[in-house]
Amino acid sequence: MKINLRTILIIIILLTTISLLFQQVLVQLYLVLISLGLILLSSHRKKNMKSLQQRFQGLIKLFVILFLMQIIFRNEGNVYMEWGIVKITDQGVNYGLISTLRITLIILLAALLFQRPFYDYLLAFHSWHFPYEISFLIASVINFIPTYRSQFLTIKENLYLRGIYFRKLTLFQRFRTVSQLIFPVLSRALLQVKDRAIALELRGFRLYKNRTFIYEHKLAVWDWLIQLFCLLLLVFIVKGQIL
Amino acid sequence: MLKLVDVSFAFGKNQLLHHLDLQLLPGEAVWLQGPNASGKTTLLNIIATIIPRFIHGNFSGQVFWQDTNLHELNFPQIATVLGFLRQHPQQQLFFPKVEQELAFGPENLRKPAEEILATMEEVCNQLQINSLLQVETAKLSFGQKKLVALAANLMLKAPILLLDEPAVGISTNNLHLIKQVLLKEKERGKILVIADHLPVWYDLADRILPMSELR
Amino acid sequence: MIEFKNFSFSFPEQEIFRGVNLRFPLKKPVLIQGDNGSGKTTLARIISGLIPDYSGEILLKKKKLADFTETEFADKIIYIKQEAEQNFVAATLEEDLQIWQHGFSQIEKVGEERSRKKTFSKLKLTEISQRLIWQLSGGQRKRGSLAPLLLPNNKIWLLDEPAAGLDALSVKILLQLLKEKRAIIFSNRKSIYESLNPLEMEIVEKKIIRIN
Repeated sequence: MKINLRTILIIIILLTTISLLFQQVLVQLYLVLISLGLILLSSHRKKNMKSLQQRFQGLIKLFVILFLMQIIFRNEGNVYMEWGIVKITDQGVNYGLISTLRITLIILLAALLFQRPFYDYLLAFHSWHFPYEISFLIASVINFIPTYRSQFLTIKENLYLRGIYFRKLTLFQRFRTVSQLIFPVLSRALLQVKDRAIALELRGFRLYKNRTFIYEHKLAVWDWLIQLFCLLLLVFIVKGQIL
Repeated sequence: MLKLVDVSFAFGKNQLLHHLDLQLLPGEAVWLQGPNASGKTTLLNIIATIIPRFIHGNFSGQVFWQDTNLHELNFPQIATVLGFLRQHPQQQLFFPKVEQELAFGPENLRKPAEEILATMEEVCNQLQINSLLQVETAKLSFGQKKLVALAANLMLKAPILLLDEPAVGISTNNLHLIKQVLLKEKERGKILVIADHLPVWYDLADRILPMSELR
Repeated sequence: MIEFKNFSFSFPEQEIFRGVNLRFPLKKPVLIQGDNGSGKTTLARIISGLIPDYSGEILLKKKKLADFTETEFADKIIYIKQEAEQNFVAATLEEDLQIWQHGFSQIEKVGEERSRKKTFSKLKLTEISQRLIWQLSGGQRKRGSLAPLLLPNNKIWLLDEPAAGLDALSVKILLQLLKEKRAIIFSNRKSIYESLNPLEMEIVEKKIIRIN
């Protein structure tokens, strides 16, 4: 199923709003499950799940540390256990769970956003009547990551072709390698940004405030329904919480 | 008429162009010849006004298309005057799909969708890249990227086309295609400026300009 | 000697090679031709070890590439990519060649400086070896990308369109270097390499076929 990017964006706004307004473990857990479901529904399921798995493996230490910090530094509420100054309280555990779940949610939502090609963003913002230049700017940010990723990969490849293995270097050697690479990499990146800007304008970018599009992403019926439902829910929740 | 008036350019101590005057009529193809680093790309950059807008050096002179001084235009307006196939096709491709890439120029010029699609069909037929339209640009080979970048510039339908090393990395079959396309554009009145040291443009060029004579 | 046994490779949405069985000696230059997009660069990347997930076998001097250790590729093969700027990691040709010689360590071995100087003078790069690479012209960068070939080595050269963007004089220098070398050249400009009298192959319809 191909969900329109506009629908995804609205769902994400709703999910983050709920996550901010409700401080309950169960609510946060539901949000995580919903966004996981959305990723499973999306078109590149296999590839996404693999990269998500890698990301979480990398972050697992951070999660544990964050969880422990919350438990140790929150002292309010009923005490479960106590050793000297260290107190484990129900609120501490609660907050620990909530913040871990929230970070998980952020990672999942980011994965949802970054899986879309940046052209989809241009179309989405266009249909919301955003100014073209601003749409392009936001969309370019999405494009930024793959561009730099490929630059990084090229360097890694070239080191490999010269028989230099970053993983096998000592910490000191790594530091020296990076410090020698950083100037050329940054210079090239800056130059690339400039070349890109020139090349874009050589094809008439920013000639007018607006431009035509050869195609647009039409909304399907379920897109309309989901968007409507989300917006109503959003209004209802915000009204209930604030007024 | 494309007219360069008293153009000089030096980069550091390196004097690349010295009081150059050049006039090109519609339908004329000029071939800039010269070894590496002789200033071929520099001259194209000057015609496209990238020098002095973005590359700073010691520049003087003027560039005119008809009665318009190109230095007085906004840079994006240059796209209505000329297309420029640059040396590295990678730098000129931005979009996920080839089709989006080709449409980008005329979309910016606010051409209606039907017209863009018709032009796209024509250009793709000529260069035989129809099968690439839905392919991701990042997955193309160097030669294919070059073909797509050329197509994207043809989509602009500008009266001048600058080509920096158009034959490099292009197979013999595709070079033949490119020549046919350029010949047709020339007959329609387009001005072509080709910078290339490969000896393959004799049958297309009306004039050969050795860079050594421009210093 | 390089040998392909039932070798196939596909990208997620595109098949590039199907069931290639082929072997050829590596005593003199080999030219592999093919149309734009036929898979020349992909093949170079596979042989250099950058793409390991092909099926079938490739053997170099009777040893499977799949059994190569990480450093073995760099010891036996030198691969120069088609787009000159994709080959560099440092800011100047001088620094880049130093990294080829001794990695990121600051210790120079005897003779390394001399062999750099010799390399640059042979390729007419001496004047520009200290300049920033991204300020060089396209042709100069291309010549610079060939510099590591001249460092003392006994490797097999994998060259992807090594003459593309070079002027006549530089092509002449390149051809001199290539004479009788164990090199695989990927190019669709056969005429340039004719004087080398290379072994000729062509990639046609997902196969690699021998022409002479």
